[in-house]
Amino acid sequence: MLISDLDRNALKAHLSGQGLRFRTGPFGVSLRTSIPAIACHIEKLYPHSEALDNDAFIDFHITTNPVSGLRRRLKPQVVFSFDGYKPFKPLPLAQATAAFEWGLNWCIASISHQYLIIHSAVVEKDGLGLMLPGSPGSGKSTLCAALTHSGWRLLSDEMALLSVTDGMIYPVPRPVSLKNQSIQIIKAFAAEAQFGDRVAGTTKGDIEHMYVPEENALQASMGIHAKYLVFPHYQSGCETEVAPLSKGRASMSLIENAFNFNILGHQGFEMISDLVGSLECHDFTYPDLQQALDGIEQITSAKP
Amino acid sequence: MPLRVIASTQQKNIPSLLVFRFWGEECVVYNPLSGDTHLLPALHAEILQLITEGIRGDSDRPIDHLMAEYAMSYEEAVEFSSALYKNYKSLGLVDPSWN
Repeated sequence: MLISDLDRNALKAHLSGQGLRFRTGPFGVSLRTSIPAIACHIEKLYPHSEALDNDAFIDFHITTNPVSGLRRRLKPQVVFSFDGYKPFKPLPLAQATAAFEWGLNWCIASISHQYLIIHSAVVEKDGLGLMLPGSPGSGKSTLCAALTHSGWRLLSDEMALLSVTDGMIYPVPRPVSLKNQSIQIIKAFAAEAQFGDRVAGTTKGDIEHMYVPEENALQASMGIHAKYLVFPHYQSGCETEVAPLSKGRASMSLIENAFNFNILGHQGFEMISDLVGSLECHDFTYPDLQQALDGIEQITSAKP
Repeated sequence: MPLRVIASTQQKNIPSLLVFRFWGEECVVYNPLSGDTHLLPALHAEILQLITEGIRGDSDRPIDHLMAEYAMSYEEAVEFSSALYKNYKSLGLVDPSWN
């Protein structure tokens, strides 16, 4: 059963009761909340996620509720908790959906050490995976969103889950978080793209989450082998430049972008080395989205 | 295929097993003791390997290697390997106490 098979009342009853149990990528999540905006967010942006029964294993028991007491009236806030632990300071209640998404990212990156987790978007086409690691401002999520509406399958806009067991990258296709100008750029690029409600004034600016296309969400268990590694660098007014990246430098950059490299240690080093050995690695500087898409086409269509 | 060499040692006083991945003219070295990773020119990594192996006995191997493979004079090889040793010591990649 999918979340979309639950009617609104049943969804709200789960969320406000024992918790809505659902799958996102390889993870089981139990979410409890009394916040209507989060219920609406789940209904709209996670419709194709599998709803889990009570016997299913749950990786993350999450609660996102308004803070209690007098503050609830004076300064409404939301607090995220994981197994009763509250890793973040409360956020304004109007940012509840962002708090949920960021909190779930934190849960995955903090404890899912059956994967080497790399801060990277991942998409796939014709069986060939493309990794787009990048720091904030590199255009990683914007490019990922545009590729998702250009024939590529979305695995993640945020993290590559490299399996310790088989070395494959597994999807965790969750809503793509777009910020500030990127929102309008993608709306202009892909009229068919759908978005959740805008969350204004976060520490990252204004945010909207783009829906995961249904066919991508339904392929959430299909792992891939990556073929291309591209470090995108958005730079207004620059010339497009595709430059080969040495495997030594690619290794170092992936290690810098790995959330849990220090925990996996030697095993993580071997995994990154094996991954880099199979990749074509590039640095890619671009001035706008169309040039970025042309550059990705150039990289992925070139004969080795 | 990349050449992968683990500077293995049976000597109990050497706590670190440096892990090397050579990629053409570069090498990435992982130090399990510190968790640090270093990007080195391949030649420098070769010398690091020989230094760590030399700690177990044959301390002249880096110098012999530089003279044989890179046509350095004895003085040049000593100067080169000494400078690298000093650098690696500061990075915690080699430790005189392992002797």
